[in-house]
Amino acid sequence: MIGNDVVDLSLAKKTSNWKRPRFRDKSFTEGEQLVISNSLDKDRMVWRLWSMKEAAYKAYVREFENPFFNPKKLSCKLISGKDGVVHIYGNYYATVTKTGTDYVHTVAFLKAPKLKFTNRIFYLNSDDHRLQSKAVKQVLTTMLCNTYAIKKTELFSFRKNDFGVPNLFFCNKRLDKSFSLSHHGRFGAFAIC
Amino acid sequence: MKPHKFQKPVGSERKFSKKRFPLSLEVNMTKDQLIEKLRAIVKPYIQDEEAFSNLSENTDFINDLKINSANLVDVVLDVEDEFDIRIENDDMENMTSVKSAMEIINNKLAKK
Repeated sequence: MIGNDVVDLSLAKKTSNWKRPRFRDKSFTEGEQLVISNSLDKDRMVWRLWSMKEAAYKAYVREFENPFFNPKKLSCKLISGKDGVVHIYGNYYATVTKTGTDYVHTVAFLKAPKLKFTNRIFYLNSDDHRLQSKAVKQVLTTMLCNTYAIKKTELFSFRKNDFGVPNLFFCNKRLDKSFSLSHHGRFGAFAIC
Repeated sequence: MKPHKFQKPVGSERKFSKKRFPLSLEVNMTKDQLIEKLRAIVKPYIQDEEAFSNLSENTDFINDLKINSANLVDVVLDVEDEFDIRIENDDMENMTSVKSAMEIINNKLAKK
């Protein structure tokens, strides 16, 4: 199971104020709040932790089909500048975070031997939510077409299940693929294994 | 003697005594007023105009309005400020739709 999440740091600065009263208490465990207050770049740390939570949550919902909203129940531990672990109801997800000058991107997955995943981060042209979502799917299907020597991206389609988790179809047959799509501001991303 | 037509029937004054209806319920908002307040709260965070213009009790904050998860925390905080209540994380866990938000707000207001 895999999840990913990208945060456009300049958009996050504009649309979210994590410094507002009670935001941190609602969103971060005590340990995480300590990590934030001790970090040099607090903004980046807040969104790194957030993308870890979001990515792990997506992997969790894909597996357990149990959506909920309680960011504090997704508890993060940092291992290195890029590696981390997120604990969700007895499950541990390994995370790898990549930070660019203006984005933070995390992939979360259940640790398994020989697990191989591919992920991409790319710029998007539109700021419309629907067009962005379409563009991310287009990049993923284009990559799949190249990998499997398929000529038409239209042969792939996506459908969300009742829990909001997208599934991938090829010629209307569901593929047993774990993947995750994300977009925020100028950035689109996906991870697939 | 026949009671005057504007005279209150006997016992009617007890019907709305504070014992049976706490103050917060007596001044309770109507469902529509509450939905309107929620509409104003979520407006800055929505990313799907069409779903927003059709906002109803059954609207989901994430799947319909496409509110991102960080902004969902803002929605909860704005609700707390607007209604002068506090929502614990366990209550927040299900607060992902207009309907569930209404239930939580009404519960909290009743306990005030």
